[in-house]
Amino acid sequence: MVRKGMIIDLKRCVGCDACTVACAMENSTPSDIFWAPVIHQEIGKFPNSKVVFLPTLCMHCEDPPCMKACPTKAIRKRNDGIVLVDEDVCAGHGSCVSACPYGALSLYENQKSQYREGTTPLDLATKSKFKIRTAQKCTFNVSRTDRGLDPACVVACPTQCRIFGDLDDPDSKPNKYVKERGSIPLPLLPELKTKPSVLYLT
Amino acid sequence: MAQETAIPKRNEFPSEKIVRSMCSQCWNGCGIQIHLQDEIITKVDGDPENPQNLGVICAKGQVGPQGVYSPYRIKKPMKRTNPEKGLEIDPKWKEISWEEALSTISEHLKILRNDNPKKLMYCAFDVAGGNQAEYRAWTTSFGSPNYTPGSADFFCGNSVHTMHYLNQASFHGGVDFKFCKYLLQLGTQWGSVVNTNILAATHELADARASGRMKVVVVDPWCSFAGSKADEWIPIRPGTDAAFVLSLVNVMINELGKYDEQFLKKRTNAPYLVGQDKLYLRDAGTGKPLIWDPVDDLAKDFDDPSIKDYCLLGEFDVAGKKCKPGFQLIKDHVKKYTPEWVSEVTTVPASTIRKTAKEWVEQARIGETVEIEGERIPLRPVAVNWYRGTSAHKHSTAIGYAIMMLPTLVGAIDVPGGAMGEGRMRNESTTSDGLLATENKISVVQPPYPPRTVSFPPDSSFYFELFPIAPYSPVMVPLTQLNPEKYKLPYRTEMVIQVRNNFVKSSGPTDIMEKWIKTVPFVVSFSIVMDETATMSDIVLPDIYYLEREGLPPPQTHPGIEGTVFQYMQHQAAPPPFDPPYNKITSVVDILLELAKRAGFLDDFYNEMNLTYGLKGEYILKNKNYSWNDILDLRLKNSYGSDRGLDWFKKNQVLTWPKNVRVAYPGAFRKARIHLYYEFIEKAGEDVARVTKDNGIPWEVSDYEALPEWKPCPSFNPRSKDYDLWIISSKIPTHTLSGSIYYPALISVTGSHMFDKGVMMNADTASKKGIKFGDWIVIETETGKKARAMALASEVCHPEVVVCFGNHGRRVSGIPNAKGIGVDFNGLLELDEEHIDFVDGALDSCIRVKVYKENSTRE
Repeated sequence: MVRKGMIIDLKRCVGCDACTVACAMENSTPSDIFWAPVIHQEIGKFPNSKVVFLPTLCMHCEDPPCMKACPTKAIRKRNDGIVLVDEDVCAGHGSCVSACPYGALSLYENQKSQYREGTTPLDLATKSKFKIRTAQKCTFNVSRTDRGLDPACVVACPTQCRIFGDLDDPDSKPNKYVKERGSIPLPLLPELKTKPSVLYLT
Repeated sequence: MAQETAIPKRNEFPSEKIVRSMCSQCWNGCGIQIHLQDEIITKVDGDPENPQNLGVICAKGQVGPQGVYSPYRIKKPMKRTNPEKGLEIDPKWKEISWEEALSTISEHLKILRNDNPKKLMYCAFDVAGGNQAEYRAWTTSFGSPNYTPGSADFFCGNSVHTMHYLNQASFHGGVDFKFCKYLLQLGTQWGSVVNTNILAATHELADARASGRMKVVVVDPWCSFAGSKADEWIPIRPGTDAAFVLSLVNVMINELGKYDEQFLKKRTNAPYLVGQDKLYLRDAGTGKPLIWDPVDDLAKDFDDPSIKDYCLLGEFDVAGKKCKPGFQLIKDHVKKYTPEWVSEVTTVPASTIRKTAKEWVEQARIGETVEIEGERIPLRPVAVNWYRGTSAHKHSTAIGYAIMMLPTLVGAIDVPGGAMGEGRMRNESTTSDGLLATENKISVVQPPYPPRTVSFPPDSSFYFELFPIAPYSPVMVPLTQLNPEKYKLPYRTEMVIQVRNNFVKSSGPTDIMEKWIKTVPFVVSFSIVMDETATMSDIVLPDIYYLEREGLPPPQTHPGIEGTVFQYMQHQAAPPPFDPPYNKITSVVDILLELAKRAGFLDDFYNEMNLTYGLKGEYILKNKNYSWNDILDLRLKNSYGSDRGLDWFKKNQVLTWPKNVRVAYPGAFRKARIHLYYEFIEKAGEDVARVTKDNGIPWEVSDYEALPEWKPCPSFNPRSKDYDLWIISSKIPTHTLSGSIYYPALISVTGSHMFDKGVMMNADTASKKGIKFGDWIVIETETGKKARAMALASEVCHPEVVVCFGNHGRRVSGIPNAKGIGVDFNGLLELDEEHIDFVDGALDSCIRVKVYKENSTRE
C-alpha cells in the first residue's frame, strides 16, 4: 500500500511562514485563507519562556472526521491516503469545517482578487477555479505530487523541516529521515484516533 | 480506481518558461526561478542550482508576482502640481512624458553642475543586484561626494561594519557552521530568515539544532524567532549590551584568567606598550610601537627579530616614561564590570554572566588545531553576531569595540569555527605599526583604520570629514541642514535623487525627515509605489521592478571551507510596463546614462565606471552610447573571459570556482596583527577635538575612547517615572525594510500572527497597568510622540519593554492596503545631538515610553 504523508521536524522549523506563502501562491488561495498556516504558541512563564512554532496543514487522516461529517459524500480518500474534496459534489453545508479538529477546512464564500482595487493580470493568469460555496483545503499539492514533485510548501522551507513521501515505504525520504533522527514522530491530537498522515518530530 | 478521477485539476500551471535570476526583496540576492505563463510572471521559487540560498527562498521572495502586477505600481513619470509638500498633503500629480521628465531633470543637473555639484545628493539602498557601484560612480562623475546607501546608514551597522573591517577586513560577520560549537547572538535574529546570509544561515542553523552540534545563546529583550529556537535566551534591558559584554571580558581575564596568550602576543597589538597619554610608546628612531621582551628585559620595536617573548602584563619604564602593555590596561579597565554590578545594569543574573563567559572560553578550545588541505591551523569554534539591536545607540561605538574583544581574546578570528568575516575586502595591507588595514573603493561604507584625515569645512553633506573612523554619517544631513548656522553649513542640498530607498520613512524620525526633505528644492524619486519619499518628491519616475531588470552582484561565497566562490546575475523575465522606448530599459542605469549624456558628463561617468570595475583593453567604455546590457557584457568579459559575457550568464546563470584554505581562513595565514587595544580611536578623537574647536563647531568627542566603556543612553534618565518602559522594534521573517508592506499575502500572514496590529508587552507589566490582552493602548514618548496599538500581553518579553514589529505605520495614500498596519517605530525616535553617536554616526533607538489604555483618564 501507499500512504502519502509528511514528517515535520519541529526542531528545524523557525516559524518563518515560507511554507504558508508558498502554498498561498501555488494554489492562488484567497488572501485571507491559508491552507498551511504556522501557529505561534507561547509556552512557559517569563523568563523561562519561548514561542513554539507549529506548521500545520490538512492531516490527511486515515479516519477523516470531515469525510464522515459530509452529508453529500463530497470528501473522499484516495488509495494513497490523500483526502480530497470533490467540489462538484460539495453542497457547501460546512459540516466538514466544524468536524475537522485541526481547522484544516474553509468554506469559500467568494472569489476575491488579491487587491481590492480589482483584478490584476496575475489574478487572471492564475485564476482560481474554486467553486464558490464549496469547502477547500490542502490537497498535499496533488497537481505537483502526482507528477512526482514535492509539494510547494516542502520545496520552499528554508530549514527543510518538511519531508514528504510514502509513509508505508521504509525506504522513503520521510522514513529515512526519521530513522536518522532517532526520534519517534507523533500526530497531533492522538486521542481522537483520526490517524493523521502528518507527523511531527520534536 | 474510480475515485482517482476526483482529483481536482485546478491550479496546474506548468511553466511555459523559467528565467533563472536573483531576488531583490532584501539585500541577500537569493537565486530564484521566475516562472511565466503566457508572458505573465505567475510564480517565483528558489533556484536549486544556486549555492547562495541552496534552492529555497523565503515568504518575501515568493510574493514577487503580486508586486509586478500591483495596482499601486507607478508606470508613468509624474510631476507635482501642488507646491505645498507634506506626507498627508496631496501633491496633485500630473502624468508627464518621459521626454518632459528627463529634460526637466537634466536641466536641473546642468545648472547645479555649473553652480556647485556637491549640492546633489544621491540615495539608494539598492543592494542585491542593484547598482550601488554605478550610483556612486554616477554621483562622483557628476562632481558630488554625496552618494549614500540612504536609510540603512542611520542605524544599520555603524558599530558592526566598523569592527569587521578592523579585525577581519570584511564588511560584516558570519559563522563557520562546519566547525562552530558556540554562537552568541546579541540583538540580532541571524539565522531566522532575517539579516545577512539569510537562507543558508537558516538552513545550517537548523541542521546544527537537529544534530545538537552547536549551542546557540541569544541575548535580546524579547524571545524573538531566534531566541525561541536558541538553546538559551538571555533577556536583557535595552541599551546595556556593552556592560554585559565588558563583564564577560572581565570574567574571562580577571576571574578565569583564560585567553589565547600566544595569539594575543603574536597576532594582536595587546603587547604594544601604551603611555599615560593612552598612545603607543614609540621608538625614538624608527617611530615604531614598542613591546617589552621579558627575556632580555628590554623594550623593543614590535617587529624586532630578536624578540624572545612579549609581556602582556606589567608596568614598565621606558626612557623615563611609565607604560603598560595594552592588555594590562584592558585588564585593569574591565575590573569594574563585576557580574554583580553589571547584573544591576542589565538585569542579567551574575551567575548567567559567569556561566556565559566560562562557556565561551571553554568552547573556544584555546590551543587546539585542525588539519585542512595539509595545513595545521587553529581551531576556535566560537562566534559572535550582532546588529541593529546592539548597534543603534547613543554610545554605539563602544558596543562594537567591546564585542570584537570576545573573539579576539580567544584567537577566534577567521580561523575554523571562529568569528568569520563575510564580504571580504580584496585588498588587505599592513600598516607601519604592523596592523591589519583595508580599503573599500567600490562602496561608500568606509573602514575605520587607519583613521581618515579630519578637516573643516566638510566636503560632503554628511560631515564625513569630521567622522574619521565611522563607516558613514548621513545622520548629519538633517541635523546640520536644519541647524545651518550652528554647524556652519558650507552648502545646502538642493537636489536629491533617490532609488528604492524611501529614507523619509526608513531612516530617522519621520517628522524630522519630512521637515528636512521639504528644505530640498528639487527631489526626484525612482519608485515602485507612491511611498513616503516619492510623495515628498517633485518628479517621480517609475522604478524598474526586480523581476524586470538585469543586475550583477559581486561574487559570493559562504564562510568556511565548504562550497565554492560563485558569480550569478539578475535577469529580466519581462519588460517593464513603461511607454516605449523606455520599455526596453533593463535598469535605472539606462536612465542615468541618458541623463549623463544630456547633462554633459557621460564621458566622466564612463571613466569612473572604468576605474570602479577595473575595465581593461577592449572592454574600456569610451566614445559610444552603451546600454546597461552592453556594459554588463563588457564587465563580465573583462572579469571572466571573452566567452563568458551576458549571453553565457543568461544561459548558464551560475559560474563557480573553488576556494582554498587560505581564502576560507585568512586568520590562520595573516601576517598583520589585529587590534585588541584601540589606540587609533584616541588619536582620531584628538584630531576631531582640535579641528572642531578651531572652527567653533559644537562637537561631542567624549566617545573617542581607546578603552570601550558602557554608558547609559539618554533614555536612562527619563523625565518622570511614568516613562517606565522602552519601545523596541524587531524584524519578522515576513517583512524586510519598508518595501515589503504592500504585498497582500505578506499582509495576511502578518495579520494572522497579530504582528499587524499588536505590540508585545510583558504580561505582569500589563496587568499592573490594568491592561489586558487585546486592549488598545497608547504608546507615548517623553516628547509626546504617540502610537496606538493592541496590547499583546506576553510571557516572552522583558518586563521593561514594548516590542513592535517591522517597518510599518505607513501614512501615505499611495499604498492603501498598508495603511493602519503596525507602529511607525522610526516615528517615535529623536534626532538631535543627544541621540547621535558622534564617533560612528549611529542614531539612538533607545526610547522611553509610557503606555496606557486608550481613552483612559491617565492621559
